[in-house]
Amino acid sequence: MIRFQNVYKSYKAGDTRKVILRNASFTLPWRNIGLLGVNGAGKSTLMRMLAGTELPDSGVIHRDVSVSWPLGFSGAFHGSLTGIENLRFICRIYDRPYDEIIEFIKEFTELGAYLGMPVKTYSSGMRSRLAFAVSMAVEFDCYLVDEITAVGDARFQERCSREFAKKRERSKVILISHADSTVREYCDMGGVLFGGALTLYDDVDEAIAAYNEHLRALPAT
Amino acid sequence: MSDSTIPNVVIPAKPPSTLSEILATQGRVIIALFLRETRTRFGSSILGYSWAILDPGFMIATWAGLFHLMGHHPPIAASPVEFLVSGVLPILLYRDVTNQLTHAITANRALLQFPIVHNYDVILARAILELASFFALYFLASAIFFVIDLQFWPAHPLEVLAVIGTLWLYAFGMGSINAVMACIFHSWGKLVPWYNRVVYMISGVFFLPETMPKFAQDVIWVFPTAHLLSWMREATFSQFETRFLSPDYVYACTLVALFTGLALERAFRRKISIEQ
Repeated sequence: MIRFQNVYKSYKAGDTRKVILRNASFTLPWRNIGLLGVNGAGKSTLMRMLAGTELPDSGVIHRDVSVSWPLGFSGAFHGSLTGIENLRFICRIYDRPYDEIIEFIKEFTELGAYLGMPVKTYSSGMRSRLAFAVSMAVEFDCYLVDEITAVGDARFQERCSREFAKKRERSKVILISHADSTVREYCDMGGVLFGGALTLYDDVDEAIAAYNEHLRALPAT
Repeated sequence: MSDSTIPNVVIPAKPPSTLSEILATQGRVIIALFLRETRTRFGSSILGYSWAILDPGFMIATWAGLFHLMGHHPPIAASPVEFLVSGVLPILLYRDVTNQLTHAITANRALLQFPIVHNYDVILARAILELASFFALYFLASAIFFVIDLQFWPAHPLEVLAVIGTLWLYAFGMGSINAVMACIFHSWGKLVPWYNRVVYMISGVFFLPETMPKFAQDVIWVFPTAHLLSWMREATFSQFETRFLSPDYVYACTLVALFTGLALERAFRRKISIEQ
C-alpha cells in the first residue's frame, strides 16, 4: 500500500506555480487504480512521486510494496550499449537471472540480431518493444503505467496484454490513461486529480463521470 | 507462435527493509553501474583505453623534456621521471574523480528514473571506476620502470596505499559537492576544470613546495592536494622526508568535503529529483 501523508507538491509553469497536491493525505488501496485528470493536473508528476523518483515539496510518502518504474519507459536505455547490455544492467540492479530473462526477451520482442546492436540504431517501435518486455521481466507488487501506448503490430499487442494480464494475477497496476476504455478494462477503482487534491472513487464509472465533469468545466479553447 | 513466458522462479522485487538487504541492493546497483560506466567510458574501442594511458604519458613526457632542456633535476629521486610519476598519477586521480563526479548526476538523469538507483550510487560507481583505473595505471608504470631499470616499487607501499586512499576520499568529497552543485548551477561544470588547473599547477606535481619562496609556500599550504603529493613522495622515496605535510589538516579537509557533499545532496535531493 502507498500512503501519502500531508503531501504538498507544486511545479513551476511559466511564471506561476501549479499546485498538484495541497497537503493531501490519502492511502491508495491494494487495488488496480486508474488515475484521471485534465492536462496539466500533474498525473505524470504524481506517478513519479509514486515511484519515488521525484520528491514532494513537503510531506511524506510511505510505501511498503515494491513499485516499478513507469512501464514501457525506454529513456533509461543507453544508446551506445546494445540491447543485451542494457538488459544485463537491469537484471543486475534488480537481481534477476539474466540467462532466463534473455530467452524470454528474445521470444517476446522478436528483435533477433538487433539485440546485439546499440540501442541507438533501433527504431522507436523497437525501443518500446524492448522496454515493455524488460518491464515485464522484473516482478513488482505494483506496476505504474503512464499512458499505455500501442506498441507494434496487433500480434505483439495481443502478446503484451496477455503478459500483462498474467502480471495482474499477483500484482496491482496504477495507470494513467485518457481513454475511458483502457481504464475500464484494467482498473477496478479510480482517482481523479483536480484542484490540488486526489479524490478516490470506489467505482471506475463514478471516477470517469467526475473526470468528464471537470472536462466540461474547462473553458473551451 | 510459441508461448513465451517469464521464468517461473520469480523473486518479487520487494523493497529492501533490513540494513543488510539495503546494503546488498546498493552493492548490486553500484556494481552494475560500475560495469556500465566502464563500458561507456572506455567504449569497446582500443582508443578508449589507450587514452587513459596516453594522457598521463604525454604529461610526464612533456615535463621530463622541459626538465632536460632546462638542465633541471628534481632534488629527490634518481630520475626526473620517477619524480614526475609520483606527482602526475595522484593529481590525475584527483582531477578525474572530481571531473567525472561533477557530471555523475546530470549525465545519468535517465538512470535515476529507476527507483532503485540513487544519487550516491552513481557518484560512488564513477569514483570507484577512477580508483580502479588509477591502480591499473600505477602498476603499468611500475612495470615499465622495472623494465627500463628505474626504481619500480615505492619505499613504503602501505603508506602509498594510505595516501591514495585519503586522496581518493578527499576527491570523492569534492566530487560529490560538484555533482550536486552542477545540478543547481549549470555553469558549475565549467568552473571545475578551471579550479582543477589551479590545483594541478600549485600542488607540486613538478616541484617540491619546500623549494618555493615563503609567500608561495603560504598559498600552497592551503591546498590539501599539495600535502598529499608531499606525503606521496615521502612514501615513495626512501631518503626523502617532507616538511610540507600536516596529516591532520588533510584529514580535516577530507571530512569537511565528505560531510558537505552528503549534506548538500540531502538538502537539495528534492530539487535534484525535479530537474529531469
